[in-house]
Amino acid sequence: MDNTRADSSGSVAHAPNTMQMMSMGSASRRRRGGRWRTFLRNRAAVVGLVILVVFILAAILAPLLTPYNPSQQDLAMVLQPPSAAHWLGTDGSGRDLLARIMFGGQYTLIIGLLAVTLAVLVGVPLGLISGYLGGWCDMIIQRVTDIMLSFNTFLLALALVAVLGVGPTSVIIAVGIGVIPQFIRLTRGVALSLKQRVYIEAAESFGASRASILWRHLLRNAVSSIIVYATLNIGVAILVAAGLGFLGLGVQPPAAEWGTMLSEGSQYIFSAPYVSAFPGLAVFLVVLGFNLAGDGLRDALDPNLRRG
Amino acid sequence: MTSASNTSEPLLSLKNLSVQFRTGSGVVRAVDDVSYELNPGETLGVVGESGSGKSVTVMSLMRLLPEASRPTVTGEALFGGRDLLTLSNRELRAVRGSGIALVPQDPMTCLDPVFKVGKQIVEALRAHDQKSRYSALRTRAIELLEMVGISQPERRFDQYPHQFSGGMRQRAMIAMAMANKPKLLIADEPTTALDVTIQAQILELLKEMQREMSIGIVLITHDLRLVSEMADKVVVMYAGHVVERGDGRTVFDNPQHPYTLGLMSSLPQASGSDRWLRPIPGNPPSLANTPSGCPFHPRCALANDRAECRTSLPVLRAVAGADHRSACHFTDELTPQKQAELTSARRATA
Amino acid sequence: MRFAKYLGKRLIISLITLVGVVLVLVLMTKLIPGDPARVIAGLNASDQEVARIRQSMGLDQPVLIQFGHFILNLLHGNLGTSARTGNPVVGEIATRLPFTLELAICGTLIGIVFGVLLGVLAAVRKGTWVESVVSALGVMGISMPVYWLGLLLIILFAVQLKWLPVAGASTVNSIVLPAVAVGVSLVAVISRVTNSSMIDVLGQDYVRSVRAKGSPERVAVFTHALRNALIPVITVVGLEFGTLLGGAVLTETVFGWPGIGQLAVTSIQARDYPMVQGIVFVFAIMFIIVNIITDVMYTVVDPRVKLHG
Repeated sequence: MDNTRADSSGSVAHAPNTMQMMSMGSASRRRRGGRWRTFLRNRAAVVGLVILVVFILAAILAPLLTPYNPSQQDLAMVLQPPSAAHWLGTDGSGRDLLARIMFGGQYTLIIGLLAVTLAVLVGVPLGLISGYLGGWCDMIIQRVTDIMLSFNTFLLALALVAVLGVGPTSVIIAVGIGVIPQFIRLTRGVALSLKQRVYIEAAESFGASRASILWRHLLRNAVSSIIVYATLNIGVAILVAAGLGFLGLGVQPPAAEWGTMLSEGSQYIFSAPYVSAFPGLAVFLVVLGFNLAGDGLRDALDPNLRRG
Repeated sequence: MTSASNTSEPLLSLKNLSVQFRTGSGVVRAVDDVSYELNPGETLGVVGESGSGKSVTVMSLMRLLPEASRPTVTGEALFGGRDLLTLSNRELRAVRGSGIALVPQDPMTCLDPVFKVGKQIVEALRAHDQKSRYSALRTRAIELLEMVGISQPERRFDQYPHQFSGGMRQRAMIAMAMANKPKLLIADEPTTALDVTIQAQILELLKEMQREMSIGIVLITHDLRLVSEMADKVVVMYAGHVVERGDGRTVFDNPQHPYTLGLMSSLPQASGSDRWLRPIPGNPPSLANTPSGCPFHPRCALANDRAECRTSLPVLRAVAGADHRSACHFTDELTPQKQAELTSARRATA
Repeated sequence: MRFAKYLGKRLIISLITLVGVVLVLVLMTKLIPGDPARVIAGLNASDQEVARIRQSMGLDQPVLIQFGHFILNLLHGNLGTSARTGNPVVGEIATRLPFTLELAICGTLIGIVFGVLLGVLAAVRKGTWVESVVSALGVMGISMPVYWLGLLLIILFAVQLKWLPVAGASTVNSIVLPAVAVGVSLVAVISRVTNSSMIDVLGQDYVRSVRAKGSPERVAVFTHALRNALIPVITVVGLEFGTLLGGAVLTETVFGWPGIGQLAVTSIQARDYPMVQGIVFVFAIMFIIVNIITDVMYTVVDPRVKLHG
């Protein structure tokens, strides 16, 4: 028997206001059809994915795809414009640009991947601890994270490279540390929102430890956000790593890293602009690919992440 | 209640007004074939639950519906002899504010938080008077603030909305609405967001405005008590349709539609013998998915699962007395005894 | 009076932050692999030379003493001596700082003006091709490496078209290309934020009230909606300052623009630690100032926000 006390004005049941209903359409569309289909329906995201696949395959299969050796110099063929023999031309030492870009992709992708993995492995637990424990620990970690976030990733990496020296390892560590604050922020937020639920569930289930409940909830809630953030941040990592390479502080020549190639090529902008244009284009496309794919993942997996 | 005017031409006349939206869930008929009229100096109460289409109807007249939902409006809406729906945007803009003014529902969100209140009232004046100097408009705005009962209007002129209380903000909205002496005021749930004590004051204010300037008021609300106090005429809406329409007194004394009846019996009774009231069972239908036939039949105490109620949409027909219309197949069954039976049956099961 | 109290509180917090930064800086010299003194002395210097340099720079002292020296020197306006050139750090930074500031300010202006323009355009023409184009430009803007963009701009405008100078800061026109390079990523971010903020605001009740009064549409959009929509943009500009500075470092290298960014790069390459320390310190101060300015701007722009004294 439903004894609802009507309020004194005599008003009755409330349905969503017509105006509110108007904005509900897209949400329902998303839930139908599953997350993969939402992603695939997003044309930009698919384009991004395609770009990534192309570059990843080119990097992995590089030895099979090109007859040229990326470090093979040919001083007779220096600074050749794009031609049938050399699709993208040659650089200042006669090396084939296309081959260098393909092999260089290995550096770029591996550095990006490892840096973000480092950031995830360190940042996620830190964020969880910070959010869950609260108090002094949280405050300190938060303050440091704030500072690191406002000093952006590139400057942080630059400062760290100054300390650690040059070379691929330093770049991975520096960029990784630079990206850590993003993940700390993310998982701290998740931990904070889950704290209540964990306490309640722990009280109700007599046996399971708080840690295991937290873990279970975490898996369900945070994994998709972490994946989205990781994808987007690989793009950032690549930009920063190539930037360090451009400044001569990353992977050193004669290695075919794209940033380093850009810096080498900058001396030839008058005579052979393609020597710097193509490696830079490669960086741009790969980062674009990660950004588009990441945005698509975010729309498909967790639209709440879209901040205004 | 004011006396009905004696001019022959109605101030506002809606004929077969329909409003459709295209949303992700399909086509939604928020307003379906609605017709009603208002004479100058009269108050028309439009009553219904959320989602009944009462607000959408008037918003469509002023072309204030959200563009994103791609509304389609058909029918006729005559105001001062012109069909609002066919006016150009420019012509309509001239009507907004000076012919028809709106007092919207939520005073908390209706004022721009980063501009001073006085400036926003001046803006209302400026919209229809590009010639006067700012100082003249400022004086007029301060007069308006005073007129709606805001004390220290000079000081309040320079304050921001967040420095006003809810009741004061609603008064300011009324001042803004009255700034250009409109002939018709649309008050969309003017008291819903306010405390009970403030509600009474705002209503008094509206009544006073009406007396002094003999404007017509369309009062949109889900609160029957308001309607009983203020309205000369009543229109009851459900799921986008008009289900009953007539003189205020008549509809109250003799509701001729089961929905109206249901609304009335959820009012607290003076006798106080029953403290537990029953709202109408069930929920209003989703507008994307209205029931077949009469939209009220799933919740109707009179329907009893009869085929007609389920399959055919009732038309508004005259019932007892001229000008009292109801859209129900079985109004003749609503004798006073039946009415009492239905209301007490619901109360008895409390 | 409340403002003064607020400012005082912020300054104290800033001071603590600065102290933290200095501590980190001093610690870093201990962490550096290799021997800074040897680097400064040169590879051929004898061990005594190296030891002498190490002593004169105070690198053999415990951390706290180094910290104390730094602060002491700081109060005298001395940030150390460059290992590369032998000139005082402060002098070098002071000469170059105005260039970087000029670049940063011009870049920010470009970012705000075009970012807001594009964002408003996309919001007002929502659902049309305009919105898609702006959105696409936005994604591309944040994906674009600033150094590549700089090189492309040089190739196009300086080499091919010869409209603008290639590098350096010699003429008035020199600022154009670098500022554009720095501004592009800011344009992308700001247009995104402005767009979503405008869409949000345009749906608000108070915008409808403006229309209901009979005001023209442009009043509703530009006077009311835009004003409200710009509030979050201020925060974004403050947040993106780091990106701006990073972009400046790279851009100065590409264009040979004589600012502290270029100085930072050459110093790092040359392992000129005193200079790097000085530059990081100056950067930290800049960040703090920008943060305070952003907070204050916020209260100016939004009357609902009050300074917490």
